[in-house]
Amino acid sequence: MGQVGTLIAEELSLPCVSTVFSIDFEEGKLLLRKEAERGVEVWEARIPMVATITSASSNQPRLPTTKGILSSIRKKITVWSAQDLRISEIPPRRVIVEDLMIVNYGRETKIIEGERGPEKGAKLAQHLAQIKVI
Amino acid sequence: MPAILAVAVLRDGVLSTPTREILGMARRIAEQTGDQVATALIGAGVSSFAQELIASGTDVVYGSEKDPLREFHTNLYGEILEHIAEKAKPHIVIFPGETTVMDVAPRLAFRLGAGLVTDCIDFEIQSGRLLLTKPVYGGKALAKMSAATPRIVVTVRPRSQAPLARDPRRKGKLIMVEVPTQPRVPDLVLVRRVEGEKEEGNLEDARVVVSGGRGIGGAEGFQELRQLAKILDGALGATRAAVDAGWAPPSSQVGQTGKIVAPDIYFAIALSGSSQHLAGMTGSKVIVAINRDPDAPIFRAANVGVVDDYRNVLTGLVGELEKILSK
Repeated sequence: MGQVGTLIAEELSLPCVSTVFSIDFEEGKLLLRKEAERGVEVWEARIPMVATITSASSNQPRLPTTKGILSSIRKKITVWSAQDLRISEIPPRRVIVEDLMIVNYGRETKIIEGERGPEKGAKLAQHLAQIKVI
Repeated sequence: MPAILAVAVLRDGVLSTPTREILGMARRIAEQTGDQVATALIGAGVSSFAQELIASGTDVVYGSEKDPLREFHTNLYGEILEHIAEKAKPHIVIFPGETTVMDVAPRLAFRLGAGLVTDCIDFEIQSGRLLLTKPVYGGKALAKMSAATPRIVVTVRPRSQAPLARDPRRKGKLIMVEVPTQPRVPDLVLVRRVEGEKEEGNLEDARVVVSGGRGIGGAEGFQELRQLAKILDGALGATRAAVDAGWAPPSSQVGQTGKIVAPDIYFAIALSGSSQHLAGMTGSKVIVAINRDPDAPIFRAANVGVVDDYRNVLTGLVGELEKILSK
């Protein structure tokens, strides 16, 4: 779960809704839908605010149009330097990465062998009964 | 005395399971560091939960109750926690990894000038320092992190830490804290909450979970998985791909953006085992993978594997299970 969106909201003293999967604009207000433990929550907000979004099917980027691609050639891109943003030094880090490891699930996989699918299925059931999980 | 502050979450009028888990974790850290375990408890009519928190591992409960606190407000809760942190002076603050409070952790870390480590699954104390393990790079690697600041804020993945056995004889105290009821930052309005469907059984507490992925091929295939779940008195699960395709309800999604489960048996059927899905189920005791592709990553996380078309395997599996279970 990301933390940058919420931190920016805190820096700017703005409200924030995280893991939003759809945003609607109604009568000058935003309606934001987010996934929560027990289903979906709908939050109402006024701009300015911060939202972090999930890559749900409703958030897929649109395909660029040919016209859009052509006009993008003439668009100026603004580049800000650290000085423009009044950042004189990199703030000290707050956490240290002490170690990085490849995930090892520590499981030995027993493959159920057999001639055909149904036979393997039956053997799987017997194996589960044998190791007493069913 | 230096303290560890755990943040309690109430859900449907009871302490949430992840809250009990972080209390267990806080107590295990405290056993090695000698810290006191404090718990922040915010809400309406919360003082009645203080004894429950003490029985679950807390030494001091900082309670804050006012009627406007009945609904969760990120900014207001953030300010109250800042207030409680001034009193409790914790060097470690632990949040349960629940969506309701996840927004508060970064805000509190910012206000306390503390480092923040999210989604922790394990910890160790090395020469008095707290090291936290968390999945990184989409779950493909694990990182051990420590604080570069005097304080650290931590969020913990549900089901990665064991709760303590309740001990009603444990002693502790409740301190009520006066708090602001208006946040500095404008708060948002929760318009409504749309509850997920209940028909699939309680996925998070199920002893058996039967999950399917993209390879199931359609909603009809999920009916077969439901049948297997029913025989084993289990719940239906699904990958994000299957939910997005509309084959299974959103409430059944297991993984990083869905539910995190740790049942006794997890059937991973016709799903490849993306790191996002694995994030939600690798705590399961026994993982059974059924997939046509012998190179599917799910086999690396599984205890038992069957390489074949799931339809053929299910026919034999369901028939034999009915025989075994009727004995």
